[in-house]
Amino acid sequence: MCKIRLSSKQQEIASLKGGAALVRASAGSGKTLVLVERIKMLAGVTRRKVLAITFTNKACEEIRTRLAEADESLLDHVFVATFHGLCESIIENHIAATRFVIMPQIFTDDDRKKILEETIEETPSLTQWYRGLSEKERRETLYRALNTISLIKRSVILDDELFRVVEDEQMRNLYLNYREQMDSLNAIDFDDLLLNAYQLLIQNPKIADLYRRSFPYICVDEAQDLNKAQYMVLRAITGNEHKNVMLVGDTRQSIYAFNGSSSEYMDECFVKDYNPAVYNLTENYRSAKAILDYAQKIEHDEALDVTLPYIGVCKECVYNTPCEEAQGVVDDIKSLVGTEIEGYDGILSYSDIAVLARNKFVLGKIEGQLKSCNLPYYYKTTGAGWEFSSTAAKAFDLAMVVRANPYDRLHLDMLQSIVGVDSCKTLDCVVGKIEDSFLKEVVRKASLLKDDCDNMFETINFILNLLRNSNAFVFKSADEALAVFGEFELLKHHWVSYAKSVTNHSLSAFRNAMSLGKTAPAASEGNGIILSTVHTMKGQQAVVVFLVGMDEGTFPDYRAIRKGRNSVEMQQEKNNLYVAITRAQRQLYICYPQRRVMPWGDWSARERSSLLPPLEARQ
Amino acid sequence: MQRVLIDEIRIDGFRGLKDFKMSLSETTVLTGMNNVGKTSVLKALQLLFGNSSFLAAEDLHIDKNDKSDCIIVDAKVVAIGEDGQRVANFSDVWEIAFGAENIKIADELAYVPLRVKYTFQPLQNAFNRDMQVLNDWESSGIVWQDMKGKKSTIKGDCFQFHYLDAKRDIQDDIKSRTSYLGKMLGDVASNYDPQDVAELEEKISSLNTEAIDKSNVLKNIQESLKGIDSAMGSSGTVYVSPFAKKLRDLNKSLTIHYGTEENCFTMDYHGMGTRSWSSMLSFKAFVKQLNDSKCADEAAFLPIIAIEEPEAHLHPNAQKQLYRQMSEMPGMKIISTHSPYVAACAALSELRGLYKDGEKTVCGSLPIADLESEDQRKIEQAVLVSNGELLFAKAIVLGEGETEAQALPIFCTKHMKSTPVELGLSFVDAKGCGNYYPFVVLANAFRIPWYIFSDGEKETQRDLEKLVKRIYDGNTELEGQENIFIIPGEKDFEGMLLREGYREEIECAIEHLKGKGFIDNFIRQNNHTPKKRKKTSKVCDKCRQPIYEDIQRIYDGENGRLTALDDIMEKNKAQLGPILAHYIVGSDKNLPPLIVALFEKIKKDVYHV
Repeated sequence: MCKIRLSSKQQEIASLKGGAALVRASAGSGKTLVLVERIKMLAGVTRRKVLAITFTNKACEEIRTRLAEADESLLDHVFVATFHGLCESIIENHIAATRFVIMPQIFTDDDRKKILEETIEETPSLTQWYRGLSEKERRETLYRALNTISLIKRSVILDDELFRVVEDEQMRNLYLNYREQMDSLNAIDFDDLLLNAYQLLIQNPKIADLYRRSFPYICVDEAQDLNKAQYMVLRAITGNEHKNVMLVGDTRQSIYAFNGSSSEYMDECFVKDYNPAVYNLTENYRSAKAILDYAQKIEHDEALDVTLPYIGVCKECVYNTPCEEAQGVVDDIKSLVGTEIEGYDGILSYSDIAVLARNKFVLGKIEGQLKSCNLPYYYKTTGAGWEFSSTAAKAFDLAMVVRANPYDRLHLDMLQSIVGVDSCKTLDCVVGKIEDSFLKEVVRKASLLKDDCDNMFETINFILNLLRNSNAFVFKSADEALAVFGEFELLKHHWVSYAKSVTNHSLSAFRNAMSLGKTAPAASEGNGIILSTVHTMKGQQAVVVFLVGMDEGTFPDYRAIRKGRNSVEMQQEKNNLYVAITRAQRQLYICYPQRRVMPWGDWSARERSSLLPPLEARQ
Repeated sequence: MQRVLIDEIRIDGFRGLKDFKMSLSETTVLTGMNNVGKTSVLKALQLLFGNSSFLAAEDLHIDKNDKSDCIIVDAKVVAIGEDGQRVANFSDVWEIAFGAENIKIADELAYVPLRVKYTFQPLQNAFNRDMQVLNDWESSGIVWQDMKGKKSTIKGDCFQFHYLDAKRDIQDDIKSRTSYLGKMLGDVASNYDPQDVAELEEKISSLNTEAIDKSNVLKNIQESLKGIDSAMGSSGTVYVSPFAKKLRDLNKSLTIHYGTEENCFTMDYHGMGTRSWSSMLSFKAFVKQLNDSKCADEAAFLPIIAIEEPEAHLHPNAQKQLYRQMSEMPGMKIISTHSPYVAACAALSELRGLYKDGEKTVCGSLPIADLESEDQRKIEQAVLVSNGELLFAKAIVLGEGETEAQALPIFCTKHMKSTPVELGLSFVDAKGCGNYYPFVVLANAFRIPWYIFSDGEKETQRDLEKLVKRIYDGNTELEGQENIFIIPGEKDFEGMLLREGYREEIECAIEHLKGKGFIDNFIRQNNHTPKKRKKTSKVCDKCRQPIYEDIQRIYDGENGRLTALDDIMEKNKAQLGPILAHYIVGSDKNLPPLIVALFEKIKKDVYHV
């Protein structure tokens, strides 16, 4: 976005100094711009730091970049982080005030699943019950259990309330045993970050005071998606006396209820606890008129102020089958790319186009079609969740985890199983037993990593050199050698981006930063047409958007329909649609197939989504 | 403004220091024998807060068992209020300087645990320096060296370390641009108002002209040098300037004089004492100027000043003034000294004594919190009376009165064949048998061996029993204490001498003091007179009060004379002590066995003979 003068409304908010403020900013109203301008102003006046909380690492990066563009030294007076990042740093800096001896390792979802399975195996009562379940039930149970555990933590449900809130006894047991298991490994999950930081602040009022003084101004973006744990952390930092808190959000864009988020923290709790001045940002600087008119029919906004002079395109299409839908979309893309469109400087390119869907599976057909036409595309990810596939890179990563956290026998076991050894209690023992000479060297090198990571760079380079000088026959195939090399290069990227971002290196913090997605190399963003779910597209936009799979049962999701027309879930689906539509800047194409093939091979007829405005209302 | 203090340091692996811990106050006075590690402590602080350019592989600690491969220096920075007591939070200025990520909290009090770790790299023959902030100052189950931390993100300029070594000389300071004086002088010109500069330089210029005009020699030189002009054929001109032409060159010709109006010499004509002292005072001016400028900017700033043997070359009277001059400097002062005068001026809470415990260097300090103010006053008094020597004693002998304090040194000289001064022995008058405790605490704190030479009365023994119980937390009995010597037979010092057959010397001493015939007169005048009244077990029928009886003085016969001598000595204790000791030492009789035992014990313990 080029440099734009702020409107008077935006300027008013950007110039707010003290006091609590709630900014309701509708999609495309330039809230990030306003937020950055205000942070810039505050960072210039305070000798301490402005705390800016956003919801993704990417958004953090964007704010930092924009601040640095204005004045590099502003960054000394701003702490930009996600809630997870903030909590991680609080725990790390005051580890002595927690129950941990060393910084715990953050376990990702895969690790959590393994822990859960282990928990079930080691608890006789659970084992028996679990064995009685069918394969499908087991899968569902695991999934449900992980969600329940997350929800318990995100909702800050304490043990004495547990009995009342979680009715299923097995779930309660699973939760308690899971927690014990994690403790024994000195591990925490993402939700624990918030919970532990909250407890630390509550139990050590002096530390909370310290942060309260450190952050005289606090700004929270995307506040409609706060969950209880996050709101409690915010409360713990501000206490009752700190009122210089600004929340920015849009109730209509609240789409993370399934995660325990709710806009009531912004709309009700914040209003009650902080008594903020309320501001509305209703001007839309993003989307063309046709698109906004359409969005108005989904969620009407009295105050919406259309500012762009472009009419734009907003069109619905119906296809016979998903294949035809994919074909149609790709044909449209082909004919659009390379042309000039209204309100857009220059020629439309692939990267200006996004294809959105409610769920990832809907995008499969589109991907297939793009592939066969040889068009560039990539899947948008949240940044978190990287995975190594080669044995060597996996082994190095696991050995690094165990090196950082000697209590972590889960990853020690995983390491042993992929390098083909067993019954080791230490990393040195594993190194001693590995037969493959290359793997042995990789794990040995990882075992020699220092706590402060001083030798990380040289270690990775050493392994890369080893690969450069190796023979093909060391590996099963040339492809594998290539994969290993590529993955160590990737690890180097992670390391460099971590090492640049902090002055204080530590092995466990590096691994945690990787887990939190803070180190995802920008290159992984990819080039070409964006394929994305609505959720991962949050906070971003595209010139042309295709919204596919708009049939009832797909969007809204059949599970939401089951909950009833007036359920929270259905309201969330509506918000999802609103978010999807407002991603489009100039042209929006909405389509669905009339038939879908069922898993058992039959065709089933599909209806136009009930979320869309009634057809006769158009024209 | 609220201040900060480094209230504790720890050092490991550096020179003679291993697992070394020490507390600090704003001014700390460090005593200890040569080679015990005083300079190492100061240098270790330099490693943490200053530069490490002096560091070499030889600085790594070596002992019988192994060689260290790294050096660790820790310092705990705490916030203090106006009264010097710890307060909960750092002031805004310091909190901003440290940052929330580096401030830790224990027992509701904020602090910053700093660590520097130098790891030796044998291949490069160099050290890796790693500045950290620890997660915690101490933690149960972890030795302090293994405490974990993160790299420090504290900017270095809030601490400024200065090292004043023993080889100070103001003459060198004036010449060197890098000395504290040189730094200040180099900056002098920029502190003038530009108009003043013009005026002053104008005056100097006319002064120069006048000085040359009136001097044939200078005129001659200037004329001769004009030859350069013609030879070079340039438009330059030669000037001879007896006084620096430009104010910015002021420091080049600056001299410092000291003396009276008429009789005044530049510093090179003074002795090292004056030169060393002036050097320190010019440093004081430097720190004050720096501190004032930092305070004006509201910057977080703590000077840390290590001063090595400030007393070097100075007369005792000058030494006595040093302490105040140093303690007035801003920031933290750590002073190593061998001067009793400097140590005697310090508050008891500021004294630290280094000593060797086996192979290990340990720092002792008075447990001020355990001492009542009355006890502290007693120690201060005794330190002052001894001119500070008490703090440097090799052994302390405690007696309950003046007699012991005066007579024992005389016996000592005879028995040990050296004076107590030579031996480093201090004899202290505790002023009563119930007053030993503070002195024992002092001696124990600085690991000075102590001995008690006590009267044998029952009450006195009970006091000693109480003392022993108090020192050893009730775990030890008086009996078997080899450093406590009690006169047998419930006698006092004089009684002991009488009993040990020094009657002749006692009579000589009394007549020496009181004149010839005094004893006979005394007996004649006082025999059969009431000495005092004694309570009996009988009770008066009328008033129900106990009945008292007179006790008569009986000086009849040989035993009566001994009683009379005892009574005379009782009355004249203070004056008699040293005279009596001289008579005994002058005779060819042996010293009383208990006194011999005391000195033999000291010989064995302290001098290892």
